[in-house]
Amino acid sequence: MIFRPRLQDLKIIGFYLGKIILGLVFTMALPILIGLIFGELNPVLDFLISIEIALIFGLILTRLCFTEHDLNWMQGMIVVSLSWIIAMILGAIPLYLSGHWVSYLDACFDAMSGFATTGLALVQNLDHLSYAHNFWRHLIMFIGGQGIVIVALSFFVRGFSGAFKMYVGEARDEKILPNVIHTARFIWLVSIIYLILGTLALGIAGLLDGMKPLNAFFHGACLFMAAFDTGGFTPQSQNMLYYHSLSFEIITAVIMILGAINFRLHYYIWTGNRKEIFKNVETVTFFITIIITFCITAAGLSQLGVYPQALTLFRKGFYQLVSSHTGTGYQTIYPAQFMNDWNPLSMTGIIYAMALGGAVCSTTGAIKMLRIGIIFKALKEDLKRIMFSERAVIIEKFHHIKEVFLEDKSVRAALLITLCYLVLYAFGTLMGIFYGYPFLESLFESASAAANVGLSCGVTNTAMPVGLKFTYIFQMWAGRLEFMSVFILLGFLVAIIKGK
Amino acid sequence: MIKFVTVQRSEVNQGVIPAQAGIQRGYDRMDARFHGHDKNGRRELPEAELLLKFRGHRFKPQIAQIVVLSILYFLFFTLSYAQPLSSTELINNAKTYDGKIVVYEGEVIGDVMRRADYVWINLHDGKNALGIWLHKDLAKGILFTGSYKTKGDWLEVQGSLQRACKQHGGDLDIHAQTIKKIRSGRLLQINLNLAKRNLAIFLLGVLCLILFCQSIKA
Repeated sequence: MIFRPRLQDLKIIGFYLGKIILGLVFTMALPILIGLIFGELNPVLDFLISIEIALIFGLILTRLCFTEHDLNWMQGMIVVSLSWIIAMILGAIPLYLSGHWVSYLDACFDAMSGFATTGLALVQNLDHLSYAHNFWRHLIMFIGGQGIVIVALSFFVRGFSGAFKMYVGEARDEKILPNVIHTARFIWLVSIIYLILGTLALGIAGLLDGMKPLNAFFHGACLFMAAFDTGGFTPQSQNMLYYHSLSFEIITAVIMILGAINFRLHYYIWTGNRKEIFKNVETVTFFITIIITFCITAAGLSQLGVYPQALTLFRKGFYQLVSSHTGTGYQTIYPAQFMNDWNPLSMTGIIYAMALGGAVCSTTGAIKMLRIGIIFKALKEDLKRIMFSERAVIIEKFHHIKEVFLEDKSVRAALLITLCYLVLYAFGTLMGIFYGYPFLESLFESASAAANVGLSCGVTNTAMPVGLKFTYIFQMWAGRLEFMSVFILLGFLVAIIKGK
Repeated sequence: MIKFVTVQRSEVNQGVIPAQAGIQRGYDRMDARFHGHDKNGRRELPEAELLLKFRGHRFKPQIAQIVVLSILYFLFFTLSYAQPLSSTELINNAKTYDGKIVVYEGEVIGDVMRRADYVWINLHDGKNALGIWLHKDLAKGILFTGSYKTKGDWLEVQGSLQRACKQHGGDLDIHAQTIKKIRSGRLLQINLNLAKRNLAIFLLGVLCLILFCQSIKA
């Protein structure tokens, strides 16, 4: 029998949602600062209005739903899944007010794309967007990459036992440090140190490539935020093609790979345990899958002869591949070129890479390397069982921070999440086909949205059907949260309707 | 609509005749030729027919007309790239235009990025932006680049389209030979949006009211 949720459940959920909204308000103050520096008055007003709306909602929720009760697992998961939707709705307000989005739905699409670190965009006339709005687009990627709840946990919530439930709800089931608040702060520390270094590197590269100093460092900061959080937004409409720069491509490729690495691994690297990189199942799997998918992509590209020089083929193929595998979505080709200049084989390589993703406890989406590694190990174990003597005791191990025995429980969990992703990819593909797009284009865009990549072959544009926009928003949201909190929210809604 | 062009390609390439002017001149000539009358209403023989008669050949006029039409047909296809093409057309048909001389126009956006003796600019025609590689001397006239506060110069560029540029890591770009400023850019006059200001003040009032109510209850 399903029990209808009690009023107390709703109050707890409302209270913590209100807290997270108030946390989001503080992040909106940063674009105001940028707007004031660049003398952009109307954009400043856009953010003031958004802050006021968010504050009103946040204060009302925390007041009406005030409680001192802690979160249980169900409530924690629901808070997480709802907070992402509310962040999208509130984050879209300044975007829509700028007048660069055709509809509020388009602004919501870009806000979810930003928070979920996807990178698909429906913005119009991006090259004339204000610095404040552009900064906000990239900042939401930075916030979303770390996790909206982690922002609240790190800075606005004092230690409480419900914190870990929300942390897990955001698809982060690994604690780096014993305390989850300390873990969240460590993630921020790593990110901010890399932000400073990355901005400097990209800013200097921009200066050397002839950009104005202010633009060079502004672009550097924006590009870093989107690359490290494997987002994919850029300040200009041409994506990475705007820069015409090898140095930008190299630096962003390094940042994308850093963003795709497990934060726990960052911790080990920082503490001097560099051997872990070469032993960890995730990095080993990542390395192998990059080689395999690049071989597929390169084979496709060499068939066509679009890039006759090997170096050019490598530069174009590898950059697109790293961008897709890490879930970033930076492009050095135009979206239409995927369909016109690349053949199905090369696109298949990119689709595989998008579907696989980076490491768990990183900023990437998709199936992720640990699960691929576990599934591969399970397959190996089963093959051994068939091939070896029945008396033989087969034990399979993998190295992830420490030596771990392969258990059925972890294999089952990995397979379940993989299955969910495959269903999500298929759902988006079917919706694309339903709206009249060819199979390959539908699959490409669906994988890109669900795996939070952001590469586009041209399907995503403001003229696409409203149903498809909703589909991609759902895919980005569910893909980023890795299903569990989404399923719990759906179950909660069913309980409200059908519960007794 | 079919546009007939009679200017020499070399003239356009060297920047002697602007592409659009050449096209218009071709129109005028074609009109006169097909109607068989000049601007004063006098009967005018086709140029090729006159030429053949002058040389004393015995070709029939119909054959001469076929020859003239064939030449015009050839010129149409070889010089049609002199018309400004959209970014969508160039990107979608990059294979067709690869290595050909094309004319493209758009607004200069972002930075003019200097690279030794050359510069990169990006021209946005309203749909997409394309990278233009040009000599620094050609870029001297660019005064405004598009941004939030600026409308960039609108340029017409003529150059060769590279589908996968060997010089620039496989980028799709245009190596400019000539550029022409069609419209000068300007600083945009951005006034304070009063509706937004009023909404911000109203919401501030609501917020203060909520805070006041909360402080009373507390």
